[in-house]
Amino acid sequence: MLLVNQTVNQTFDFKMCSHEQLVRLHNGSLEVLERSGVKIFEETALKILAEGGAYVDFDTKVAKFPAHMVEEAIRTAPSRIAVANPAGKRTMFLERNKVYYGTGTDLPSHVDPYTKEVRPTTLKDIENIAKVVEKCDNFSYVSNQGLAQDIPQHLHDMITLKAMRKYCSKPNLATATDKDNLQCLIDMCAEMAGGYEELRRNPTLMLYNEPVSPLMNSEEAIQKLMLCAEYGIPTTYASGGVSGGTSPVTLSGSIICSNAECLAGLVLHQLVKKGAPFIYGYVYGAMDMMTTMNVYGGPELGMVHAIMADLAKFYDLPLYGTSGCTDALEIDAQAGTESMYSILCAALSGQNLVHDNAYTGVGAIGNLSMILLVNEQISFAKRFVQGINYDESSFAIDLIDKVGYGGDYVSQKHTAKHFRNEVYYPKFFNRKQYVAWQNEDGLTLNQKLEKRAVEIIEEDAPSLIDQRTEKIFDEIIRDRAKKLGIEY
Amino acid sequence: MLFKEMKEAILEGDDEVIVDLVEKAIKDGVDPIEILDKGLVPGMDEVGKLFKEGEIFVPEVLMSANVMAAGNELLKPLLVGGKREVKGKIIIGTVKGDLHDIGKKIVAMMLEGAGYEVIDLGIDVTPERFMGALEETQADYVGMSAMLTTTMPVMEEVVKLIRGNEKYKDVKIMIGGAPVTEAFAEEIGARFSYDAASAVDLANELREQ
Repeated sequence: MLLVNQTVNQTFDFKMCSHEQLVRLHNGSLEVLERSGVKIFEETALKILAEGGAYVDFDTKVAKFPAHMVEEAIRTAPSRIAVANPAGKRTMFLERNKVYYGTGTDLPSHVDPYTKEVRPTTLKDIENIAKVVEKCDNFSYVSNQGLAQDIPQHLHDMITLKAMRKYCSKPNLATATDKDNLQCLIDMCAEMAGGYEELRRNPTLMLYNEPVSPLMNSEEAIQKLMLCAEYGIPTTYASGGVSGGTSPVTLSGSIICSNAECLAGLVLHQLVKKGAPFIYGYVYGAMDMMTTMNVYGGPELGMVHAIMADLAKFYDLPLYGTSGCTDALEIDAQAGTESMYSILCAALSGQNLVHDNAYTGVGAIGNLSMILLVNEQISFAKRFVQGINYDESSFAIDLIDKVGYGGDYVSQKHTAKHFRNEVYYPKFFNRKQYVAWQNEDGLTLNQKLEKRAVEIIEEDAPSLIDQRTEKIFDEIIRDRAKKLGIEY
Repeated sequence: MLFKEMKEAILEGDDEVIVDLVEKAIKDGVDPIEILDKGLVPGMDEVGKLFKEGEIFVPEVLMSANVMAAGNELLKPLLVGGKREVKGKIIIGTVKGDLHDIGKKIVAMMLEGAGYEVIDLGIDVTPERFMGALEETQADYVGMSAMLTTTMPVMEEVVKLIRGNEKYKDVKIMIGGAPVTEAFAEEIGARFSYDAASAVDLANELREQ
């Protein structure tokens, strides 16, 4: 017998857009790039673009792009990027339909794990975040998730990279203040990787970099983009167009404009170094017209990022995704609804480097418990995308006959063999009846999460970097501090 | 009757109607101060009230503010030397090194709608430009915005320059932006507001001091 027309992977082939719709969005962006172009506050970049065939006005600093340049850049950028952990093992493959979740960057406030008070983030919080992410199997990489207010802001990127390396063995996503700071981050990672060439082959660092919407590019962002291209450090250049504020309120218009901004960055990036790793994307947010806040939850977030995932597949580029975030100020029903929803959207649509997981408070508050909750929610989503099995053992028709009328399945070998894989078991969600729950500990979900977070941060966590490396990290940071005239 | 129609035009966000109405009132010899106080200002007050109640949203407020400004534009030449003054003069800008415009722009528009004269210096504004503009306009307020943590220290520089000069001792300094906090504002000697509506409240509060 031949069993035909089966998909080996049972996951649904989830799509938001038809091919025709993707072509139209793409052409819309090409028109924006050719007609309006983007402003770039960096002379060298403008020269490179002009030499590469862009129409550049050096007075207004506007570069406009013929379609072929954009399409050439899409073609030369790699469709897949392997990312290694600090130990050099390749653990992430940012490529079609492979989904990796992780934290985000730079939240100014943090929920104190003991007092539950929302207060300014500290370096200690970022160390704790690294420790918690280390324990969360569904988090594939770590970024600082906090903007520590108790360290010099101009050294923040380096000091927090050190903290993450110290307490988490996963690859890093980082932001950088400017190209000189980025150079230091690269130096730090190269030191651990065993050189710049090794870091290029197995990058352990990814940069979160972005244009300024609408249609602007700062000197710092452009210089960082070019430096990443030179060193082969994977970088995003995802626009953060806030629909209704810095991009059109209509979602297709917002996608077209933001896509154009990202592609403009890609063109420059590929002109600097053909084949350099680029993580495509658009970090979508709507402007809430009551509060003017950039929304981090809501139905549009998951939807637009799912559309971006379709566009990324259309371009055959790895995508920077977003999920697991919420506008809720604490862990409540809103937080659960919003984070679970976007996590599932990311999973279904096949977003690759999915960031901002466990963001709360409209993109402003870090919360250790939320990281643990999101880790649980990702397991939940995982179960959904795994689907069910269609093999004979799973169909169990012989067993159905054997157990027969009125029999039981709980004592069958078949059950013992399969139950763990077939049904998901949560770590924190309740499945006990009320009296049993009361008799045991009577802890609410939030209390369980808080308890576990405190357990993790109080555990002995030996530094994951050796003394020599730490010394070199400190030297790099100190040198930079000296140049900036800052004490470290 | 004309005043009621003006109020409605502001609520509707219809700038063509307001121009017609104000022109008609001027032609009819209505006192410009009365046009402002009985026609335009009550319209904006109502808009402010509806916004606070959650009945209307920011884009609608801004449409109304534009209508108010269109009416004001016609009255301005007639009000010169008149008794009525604007609530206060504000220079505002996103600090040096920062190209983020939107938040500051919304604040500027809301302040204008609330009756302040706002001079928007734009983005990437150096401390020297803030000081130059202050000298030139003799503004009552300086507003600064930053979206990047690395540009926040520029705010402190500007505060120091302003406070370092005796003649600006009464200038009110307001700051805002995603990474800016109450604590930071306190530390550098400025006042903080968390969004555009609260910036207007803060400006009003400082005005009374």
